[in-house]
Amino acid sequence: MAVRVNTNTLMKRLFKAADLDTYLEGNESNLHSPDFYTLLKQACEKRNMLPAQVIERSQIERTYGHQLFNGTRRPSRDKVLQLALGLGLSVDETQRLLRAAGKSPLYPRLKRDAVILYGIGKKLPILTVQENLTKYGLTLLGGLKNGSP
Amino acid sequence: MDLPDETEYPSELTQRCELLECFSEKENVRTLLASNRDNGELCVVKCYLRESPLFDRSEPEALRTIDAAPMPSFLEEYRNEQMRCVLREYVPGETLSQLAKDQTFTEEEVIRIGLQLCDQLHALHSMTPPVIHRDINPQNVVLRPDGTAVLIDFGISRVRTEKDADTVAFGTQGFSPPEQYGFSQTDARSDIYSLGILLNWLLHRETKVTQNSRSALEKVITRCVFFDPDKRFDNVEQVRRALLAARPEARKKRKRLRIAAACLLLALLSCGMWFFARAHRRPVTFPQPLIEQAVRANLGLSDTAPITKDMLGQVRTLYIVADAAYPDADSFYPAINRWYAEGRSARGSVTDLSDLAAMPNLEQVCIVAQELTDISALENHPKLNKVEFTTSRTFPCCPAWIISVWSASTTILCETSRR
Repeated sequence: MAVRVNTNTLMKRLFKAADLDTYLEGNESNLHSPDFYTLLKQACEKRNMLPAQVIERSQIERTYGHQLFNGTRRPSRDKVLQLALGLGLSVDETQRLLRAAGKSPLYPRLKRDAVILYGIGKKLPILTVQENLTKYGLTLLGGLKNGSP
Repeated sequence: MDLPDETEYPSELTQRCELLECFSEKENVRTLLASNRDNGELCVVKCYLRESPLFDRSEPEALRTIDAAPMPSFLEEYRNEQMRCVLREYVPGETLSQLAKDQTFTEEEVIRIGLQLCDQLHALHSMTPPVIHRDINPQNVVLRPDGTAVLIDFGISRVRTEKDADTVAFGTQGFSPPEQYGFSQTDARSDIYSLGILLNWLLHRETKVTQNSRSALEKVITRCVFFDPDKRFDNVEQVRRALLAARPEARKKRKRLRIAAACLLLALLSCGMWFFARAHRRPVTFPQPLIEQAVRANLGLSDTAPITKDMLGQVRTLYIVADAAYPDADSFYPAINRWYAEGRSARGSVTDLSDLAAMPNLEQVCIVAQELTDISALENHPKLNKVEFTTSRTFPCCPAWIISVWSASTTILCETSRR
């Protein structure tokens, strides 16, 4: 049975729904941003680094790393974070790269993300970040089970 | 390093799991990825903050017992003053919204995804009480590495026993049916609406469905998204059947079947025709050897040449006197006179005229001095204009059209008008 609803309320509800809709927001911003592989290459060039160097500094296995660079493999979120550390990206650049890869941005309210954020912000080497993660009993970068996002 | 303490989360949650990332943070709902500290298994945590209308609710029994693979099953519910957290299995893979950034979907793929979602929706709708998902959109469908589309996130799913006011929320703009905005209660057809919008979105990246239904798939979509729920499909089974029929292979298959049936018919027809023709060409046998002789004489055939059905159609006249056959009238009449001169005693072997049935074009039949008893075989010879049966036995039935039949001894004289 139809419930009688005030038109104004209905209108407000309709537009309120838009706030809840992060999907549309996410979509819009992605319409303008380049894809992950392009961003990655750009970041390398900007820092005058070769892919091989970045792979080394990110502590990513060599073959896997090259596959990431030439687009044959999609990275996991951890891999993107490792690349960010290896490249020495800023927090903003990292969030952008994460979004381009279709991954969740770093979330400061969670311990693990906070440790990683700290490392990125301070441009710490990846090994130090791994040490910090261990110190707080958190899973290492790249240490998540297969099938993780 | 000043780390967040995560105390806002129920302690049982943080004891059980390591919180890994935040998938989404909407107004009053946070969705996290967590891993079990014991075995590393990943799970999804949906946290309803105190301000959320869903905070008070406890996950209803029906939603706890959804055990329909591949949909994620319920694991646990934890609660504290700040939030209510529901743990569910994590389904690995990318959501359709993520995939759609890089790829387009063909009609076949869209149908395939639609069929898989129909199966899952069917499982939900057939539960007792039925569960309506109410939030079908590209972010809530994951494509597993093996290609299966899986419906996730039962956040605002509604169980029949609850009223819409209990669960509130409006799904995702563009994907929610009109009734979800307050016009009426939502039911299975609301999910069908959202499914239609989703399929359309996969094809066109639009939540608006344009009315130019070109393909069978678009027609299915159109029927899913009518404003009036009564006009939509009644249940997902119907949608499933419609999608199956809309598949290109299904239509190609039907087309192939039609072509095959036509070919079969053609083949049967030509077979029939061939047999028919063959029958015509098959040599005819004559129970009455004299009649055979008469035919050979008439057609000018030798004693061994085969006689086919077609040839019989060319026989116009038959002349037999006693035990001899003659090719034409010129040889027939002298033979009759000779027979008279010799005392009319000679007799031939013809006993009936059934052989003549195969000769529809006969015009003159003169079969004299036989043991004939039945000439009814001549009934169906429209071209017949002269008949002579001198000295045959009795004629128990005489075709009406015979002008005259006469004999010297015991034959019956039939004089009737021509048909």
